[in-house]
Amino acid sequence: MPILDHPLIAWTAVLYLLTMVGIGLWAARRTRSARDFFIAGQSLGLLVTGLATMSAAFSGFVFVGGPGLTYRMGTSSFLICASVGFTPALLCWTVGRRLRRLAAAGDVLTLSDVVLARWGDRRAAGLTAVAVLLGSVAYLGAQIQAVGVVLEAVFGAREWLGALGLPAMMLVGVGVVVAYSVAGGMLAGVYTDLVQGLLMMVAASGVFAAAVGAGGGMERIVETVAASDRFGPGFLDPTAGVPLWTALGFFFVFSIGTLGQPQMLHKFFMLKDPRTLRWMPLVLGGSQTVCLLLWVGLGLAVPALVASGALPPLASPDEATPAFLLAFAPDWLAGLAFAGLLAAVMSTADSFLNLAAAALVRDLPKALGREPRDEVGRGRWAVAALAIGAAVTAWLYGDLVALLGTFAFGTLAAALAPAMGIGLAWDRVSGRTIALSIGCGLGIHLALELAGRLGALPAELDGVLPSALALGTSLLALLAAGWLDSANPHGA
Amino acid sequence: MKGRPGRRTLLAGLSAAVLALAASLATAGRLGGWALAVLAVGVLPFLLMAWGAEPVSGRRRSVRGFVLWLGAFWVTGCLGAVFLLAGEAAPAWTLLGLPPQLAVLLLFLGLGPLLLLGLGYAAIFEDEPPARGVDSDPRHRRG
Repeated sequence: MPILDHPLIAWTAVLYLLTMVGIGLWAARRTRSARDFFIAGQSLGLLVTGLATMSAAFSGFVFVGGPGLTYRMGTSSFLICASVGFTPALLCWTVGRRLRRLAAAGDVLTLSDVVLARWGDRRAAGLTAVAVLLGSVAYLGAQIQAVGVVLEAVFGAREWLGALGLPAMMLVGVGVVVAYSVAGGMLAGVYTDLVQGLLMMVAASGVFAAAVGAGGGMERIVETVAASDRFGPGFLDPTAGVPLWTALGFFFVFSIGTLGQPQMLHKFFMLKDPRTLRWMPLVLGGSQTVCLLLWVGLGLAVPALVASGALPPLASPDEATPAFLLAFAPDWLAGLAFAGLLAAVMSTADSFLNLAAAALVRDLPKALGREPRDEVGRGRWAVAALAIGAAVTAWLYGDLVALLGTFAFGTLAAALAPAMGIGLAWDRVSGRTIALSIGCGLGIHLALELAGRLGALPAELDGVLPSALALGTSLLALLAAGWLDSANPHGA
Repeated sequence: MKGRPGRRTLLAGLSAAVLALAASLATAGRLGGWALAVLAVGVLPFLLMAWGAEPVSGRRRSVRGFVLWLGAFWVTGCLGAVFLLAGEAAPAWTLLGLPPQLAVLLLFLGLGPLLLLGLGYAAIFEDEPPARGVDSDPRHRRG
């Protein structure tokens, strides 16, 4: 799709990218300390924190990868978001206040700092930093891949650059995120997240209406999909698209696993007043539900349009969102939606850049017993280096955005969710137990993923989600070792 | 721990409610078995909430609130089970043009935030009662 066919869409995208760089430059003038750079000076209110948390959590994974995953595996993919009704409450009321209290009490800017402040165990803090670093780079890779897919469609890069179109557009996206993250750190991150969160909600609502309209109404969409040979009635049954253990794994990892996502947990450090946690689930859950309309709408409408012949079959499932917008949405809505997609991708990418940079320049040196130096200066260099590393990871991974996103989410969930969700609330659990749980989750997940990619997984594990097995094991390890700590407090 | 619900009571109550619902669903064949497994996994976040939720200042956790909150979840779950069973019995039946299995999922997506967050804080936590006895007398307060 050449750029000149849809100049309004292309100009909207350019205007959006320039606005984000502008916010970054504005924030750069207000970023003076590591506290400003990494936790936005602990100055944020309910709406900014709630929407920034939503936009950091909902990324290219939801806006680009989600409809693509539904196109490939049917409505079973919706189980990933089925827990959105209670995960915000779980986050805010079980973990949020404890994290905010620790941040207020001392020099706590990261999850690794939390582990060090709460248990004083450098092994556990080091493992936390490694988990955050690995998960962040993989998550960044998914975002860079998604931004490449979106920009390639908007600017028609495949037509004038051929196979180089996707990597070239990935580099453009990386450039903009790095520009505002290097300049303004987390202060730029949260204010761009706020603008991006509002944009995502407007775009998701508009795209949902356009998708249902283009498909001829929900009833017609369902009939068309059910009657087609390509999709069939099984596509519409959330219990039929994937094996039972995969479906349960999705629900398990994306509900409990939310407690280990640093891009969300990190926002609690920035709260000005912890009393706002009372209403935070409403802001977070409400905005998440509105944004999920895009996934549900396009996830159902695009297969119906392909089944009816109105849209050619997709070369890659990840093209579901851009293909629909370019072919069926009016230019003004497509422009707004593309800006919303870029917003979803970039708001998550900047959070992860910041988290990974902090893990590299602050957490790992502290875990090794060294005093971190020049955190802001080194943090800026780390942001640039990590973005390049993540772009290479995305290019080498070469699979769907949602699958790389699931791997990243799973890494963080398996390693950190039990420690944050249970460890922080359990008085007698020791640092050694926390290190054991994080190490189990991280090691088992990475080993299973590697075995899966090499085709070396035993047949008994067919259909089992590696992250679900790793999360279950780290959870059990923490409960068992924590029980021993409780039974023998002096031995811990 | 004065004024806070006992952890064992909460865990037992939650587990009993979930097991009752799961047992009632387990008679429905494939979908019942599936629903049982979902509930077994799905109950974990609620156990965590019951055990680890912390109120903000001036409030405390309420057993009655937890029961109400769980009841809301239970009603939503039963509604979902009815749709699932109806879909199994009459495959041509639809809700808002959607097959029932899909409608259930979307129902949870839409009603979840409404029930769990709308009732949420107000139900689970209640105001601390005014202090009585020695603690309420300023002459006996320390610090």
